[in-house]
Amino acid sequence: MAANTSSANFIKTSTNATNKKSNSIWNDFQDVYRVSMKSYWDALDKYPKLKLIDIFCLFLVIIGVIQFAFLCLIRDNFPFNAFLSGFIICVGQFALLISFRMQYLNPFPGIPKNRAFGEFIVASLILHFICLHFIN
Amino acid sequence: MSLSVKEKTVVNWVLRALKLLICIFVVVASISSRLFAVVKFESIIHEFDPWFNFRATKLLTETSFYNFLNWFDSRTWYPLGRVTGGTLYPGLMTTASLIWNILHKIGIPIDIRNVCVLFAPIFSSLTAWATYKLASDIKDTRTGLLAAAFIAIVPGYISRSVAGSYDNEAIAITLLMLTFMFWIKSIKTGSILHTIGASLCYFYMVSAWGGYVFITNLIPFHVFCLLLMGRYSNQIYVSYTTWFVLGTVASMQIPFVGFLPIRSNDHMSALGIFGLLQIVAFGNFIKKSYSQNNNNSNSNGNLKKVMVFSFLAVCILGILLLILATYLGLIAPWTGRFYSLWDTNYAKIHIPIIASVSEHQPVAWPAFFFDTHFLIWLFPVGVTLLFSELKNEHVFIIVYSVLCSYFAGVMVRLMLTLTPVICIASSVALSQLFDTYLNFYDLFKFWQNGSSSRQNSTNKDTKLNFFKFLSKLIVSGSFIFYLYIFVYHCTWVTQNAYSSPSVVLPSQTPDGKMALIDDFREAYYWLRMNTDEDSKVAAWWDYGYQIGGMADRTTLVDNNTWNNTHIALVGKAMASNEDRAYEIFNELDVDYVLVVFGGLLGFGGDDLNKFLWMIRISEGIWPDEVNERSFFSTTGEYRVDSSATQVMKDSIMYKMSYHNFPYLYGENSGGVDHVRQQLIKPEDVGDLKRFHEVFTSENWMIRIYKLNERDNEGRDSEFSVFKNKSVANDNNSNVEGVDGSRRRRRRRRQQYSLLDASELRI
Amino acid sequence: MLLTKQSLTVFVLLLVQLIGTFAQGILPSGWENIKLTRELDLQHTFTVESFQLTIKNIADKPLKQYFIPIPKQLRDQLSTITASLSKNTDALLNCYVSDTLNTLEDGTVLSYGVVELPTPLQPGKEIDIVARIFYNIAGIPYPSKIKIGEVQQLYFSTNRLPLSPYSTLEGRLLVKTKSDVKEDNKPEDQFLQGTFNDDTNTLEFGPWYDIKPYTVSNVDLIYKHVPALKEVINLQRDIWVAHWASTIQFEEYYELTNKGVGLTDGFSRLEFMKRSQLAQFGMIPWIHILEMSLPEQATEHFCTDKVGMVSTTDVVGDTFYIKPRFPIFGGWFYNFTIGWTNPLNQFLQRYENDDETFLLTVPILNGPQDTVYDNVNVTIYLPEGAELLDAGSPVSYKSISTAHEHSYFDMKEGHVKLTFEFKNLFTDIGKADLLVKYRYSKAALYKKPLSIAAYFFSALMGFFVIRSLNLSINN
Repeated sequence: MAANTSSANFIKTSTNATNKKSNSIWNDFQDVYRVSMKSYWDALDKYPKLKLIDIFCLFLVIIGVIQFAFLCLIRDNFPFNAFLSGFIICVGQFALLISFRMQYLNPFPGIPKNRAFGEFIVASLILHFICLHFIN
Repeated sequence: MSLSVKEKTVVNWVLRALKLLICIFVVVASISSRLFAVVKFESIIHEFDPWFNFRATKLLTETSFYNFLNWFDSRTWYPLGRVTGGTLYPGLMTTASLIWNILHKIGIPIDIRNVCVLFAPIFSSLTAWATYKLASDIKDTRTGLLAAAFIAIVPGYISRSVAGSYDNEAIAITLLMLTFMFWIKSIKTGSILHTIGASLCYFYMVSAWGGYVFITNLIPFHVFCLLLMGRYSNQIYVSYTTWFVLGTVASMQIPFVGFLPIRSNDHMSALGIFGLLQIVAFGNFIKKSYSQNNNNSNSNGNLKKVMVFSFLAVCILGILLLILATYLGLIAPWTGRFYSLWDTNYAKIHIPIIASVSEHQPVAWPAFFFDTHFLIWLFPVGVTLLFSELKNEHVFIIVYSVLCSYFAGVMVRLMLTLTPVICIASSVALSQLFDTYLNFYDLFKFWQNGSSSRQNSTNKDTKLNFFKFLSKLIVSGSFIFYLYIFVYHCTWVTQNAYSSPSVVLPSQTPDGKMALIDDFREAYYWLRMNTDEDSKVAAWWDYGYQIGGMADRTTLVDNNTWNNTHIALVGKAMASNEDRAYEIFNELDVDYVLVVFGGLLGFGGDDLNKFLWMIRISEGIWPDEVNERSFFSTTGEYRVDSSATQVMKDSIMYKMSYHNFPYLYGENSGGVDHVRQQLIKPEDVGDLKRFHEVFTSENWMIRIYKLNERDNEGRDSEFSVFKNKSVANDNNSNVEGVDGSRRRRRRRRQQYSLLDASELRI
Repeated sequence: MLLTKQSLTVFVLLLVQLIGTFAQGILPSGWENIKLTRELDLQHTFTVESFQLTIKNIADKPLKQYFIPIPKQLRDQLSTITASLSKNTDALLNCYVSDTLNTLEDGTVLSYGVVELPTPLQPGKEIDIVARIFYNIAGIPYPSKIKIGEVQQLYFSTNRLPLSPYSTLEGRLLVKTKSDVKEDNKPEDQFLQGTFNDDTNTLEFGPWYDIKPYTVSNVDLIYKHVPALKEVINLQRDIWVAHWASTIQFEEYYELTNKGVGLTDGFSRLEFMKRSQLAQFGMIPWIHILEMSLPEQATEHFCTDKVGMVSTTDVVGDTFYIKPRFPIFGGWFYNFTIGWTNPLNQFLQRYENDDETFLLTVPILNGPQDTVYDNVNVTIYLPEGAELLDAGSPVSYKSISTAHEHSYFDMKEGHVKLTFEFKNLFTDIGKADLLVKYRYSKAALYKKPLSIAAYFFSALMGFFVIRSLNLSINN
């Protein structure tokens, strides 16, 4: 559940600033968080394959973060295109995965799940081809 | 009245056949109307930039793609050279050479020149098809067919896509339409496959034209508008993120674009919308799962609060980041061309070279009518009609038209991107109109009823129907008449205004036959045939590509205006007196100087008319040496006759243009310059001492001068002395002179190469 | 090799073998020139040196070969040698250039042209022969540069007295030019000077008597020569035989230059315009208009150069007038391409007893008047599937080769390409015809459109297959 984690960071930072002013907002956040987590676990139970997708998502985010951290650590971006393609491949695959996840949960009219999966595969292949080409 | 199943299939087949027929006609019309240029003139590359594209394509067909991308062109921008492979958009050349290769493989060994000449017409027929698909998605196939017919013959598009106009725009508009077509499809269906199509077309577009930035901003803007309108849907998320990810990473494969998509501010909006969309999607996810489990309204209010709060926080953070990145220089500064889009005066004040290009001038109002005829007033009607329905794809067309209308008002060449949306919007209006007014179904029904049961229908009904019929007839008749006029206008404009190759000028012989004024090619061919292959030709940058393409000689500056200083240097030389100019040209190793002079023929686009720009551009770099004011007469006018200032008369541009010209009509009478309508007297034009005329074309339009050689001691041999030598001596001294100057040149070249390196690094 | 020389040439106009096989290393002797009149024709861009000879065999055995000296530096410029007996000028004798070189005392190196008599001449007998040597040269401009409007003068240096390996009893020299000729650095000796004959524009020298073999003496001639000296450095002449269209298409690429006088101080358009009326009378040393004499019934003329179509052309009758983009002054160059189409039956004959064998006769040149050609490649493209049986040329060629070339809709090996390579031609020699015999079977004729049709059909089928494939993925 990568989207959740990464955005939750944002929410927390903004919350810290306003914490003292109003305690009620903090409560609201907690409430929302609790409820959505619950519905999320429900969905996981309902669609077992969703777990696979979400673990892949999380994996991508972790790799992306590691790459970025490494960049910050060595303070040099010399083979910039290599880094960039590595990073973009994570972000891109993540976005594609979320797109597929949406279609998996509630398919768009005219596009059955199987076709959505096929299209997802094609798009990922293209993405990987371009990134490999870019990485040299 | 109901049809049987069999009848229905027949009707369907007839409709399909008709559609196909109309499509074929549209394609034929779009190609054939662009062939006026070939029929009236010949199969030749037009204007300026196409000559460079043609030269590059020829190189690509001769060498490998890899060599092409690593092409360092030492025959332009002498002595700097140009890293051509990395600074061009290779899409056009690659496509043309691909077509050429395929044709050769299948047994049609056509000349590469003909491929290039016919390139634009072929792709314009593809544009018509893409427009048909796009407009069909906006309204229905009737609209699509109308839009395709419009785009096929509308002069605004033909102006840049006639046969021979082998320019980036020729393919770019096709790709623009294809990208939009796929984009609309994917917005409608949410299919990743369509989005892949959109991003591949976008990639192709990036490889073909610098105007891809338009798409880069338009699509995010469309998504942004949809978000603001509260129309977020999963389809939008899918199509936008897929398009953005694939398109961006693909566009970075083009060497000239490189890392721009993550550095330049022009691309930031796309990135921003990508981030925003993630947040919105996440918010939407939360909202959905929240509302699924909680049904009391109170907690919904809580949710809203949370949403607003986190949204604000994220916005502030994003803006801070953007400012920080720009401040730290991570993002490239906004380019000059971009500023001139927003502020028309920006260029004039800051960058004269951008303002000097005629393409970058704002559009004159009549041009809108000239280029699109009656579509221009149907266009707002169409946009209004779209407002009334306002589906997602309609928002796109509205956004497109609003943005483009503004940009087209700023820059002439963006008229080109406006034209397709004008066609689409007005075809929406027109098809709406025809849907109601060309519908004579009632009448048929009435007749049928009338014949079978005349007794039943009352007199009043007939009258009503008659007036209804009449009004329908008048409206549809008048619009069909407009269409007829439109077609007529388009043909006329195409034939008369847009088919001239501008390398050749049409004229008439006294007996009314068409004759060609072919001075440009005459002079370029003379250069090609009768000068040393390594000669350097100094001319104003407008003619750089043509000299490279037709004369095949090294130029100092050309239409790829990447180095303003170098251009200013040539401008300065042209504006200087003879001695100074000789020094400058000699330092640059120039052998020949070419000036364009239209005074005899009345050709307005000559160098004396562009002279002010040369002065301005060089004044921008050397304000102490060149002063625009000193070229104006005491009354503040731009004069070339006796009242011209001495500085003007001393400039080599003046001397070279008018050399010998006053004597053309007799010894003392002087000659009238037909462009500026001023009398040039023999005493106004000083003798040339350090240059001598080597060629002048038939109508004096191109004049080529050669620098006199220096003798061994570095003094200039006076031309008169040079003339009087006997044959034998002459030969000897020439040989020595050439050798001596070669030696010096080599030395100078070494100095220059040092200079290059430093300049390039900067 | 199927290209045995002249096995097919129906009538041989003349034949020169550049490398003689007989007279290798034999120094000429045994003849005596009873009378030798050498006439130098300098009226054209090429030079004709003609000898009217009365010769006598003074050896003790019958002789067949008579040697005419050719200065070595002119050997590369030699176009052709012809010879005939004076009493029967129609029957041409066999001539060739010997590769014997002979260095004289003063350093002059001589090569020889050899005339072969039809039958060996018995000792003591006399015979009259006429020999002509065509050189691809003209005088050089003197001075080398003039102003526009001045008259072009040419300088030509040659032998004054007869130069022959044999002793000469009576010798003369005639120099014929277009208008006016005079001798530069005249010798004191009245006997050696020539007189100018106004009527024939001829400078006449001699007669001189009893001249020893290998007498070298020089005369420098300066003469006015108004027209330009047109020289085609390279000519690529392509001839496409199309049976389906039943046409023959010619396409020629010229690299033209003017060997004449250059301009002293660049080209001034003003001066040029002042003298433009001269051009109407042809009184100009620059190339203003090219007149191409094409075969009869030529259609679809075009003229292009490397920057596009040349619009200043006109066709009057069989002449194709081309005004080059710029006037071609001495030392200037102009490359261009012209083309036209003729009905095929004008050049193609079918053998009476064989339906599928054809004989093609095409002229070697169709260029402008009074022009010399350094290198000429004539390429004949026969249709795809044709079988070349034989080919021949009346003019000696440097090489002949066959190859295949892919052209429009050639799917297999391509058009049959036959290339003749010539050196040193001039306008008049180009009237001779090349002969090509080939077989083009009916099967090959009909195979072509069928294969094109099949190819289109398969392309369409492929398209449909791809379309249906796409749909199946979508569903």
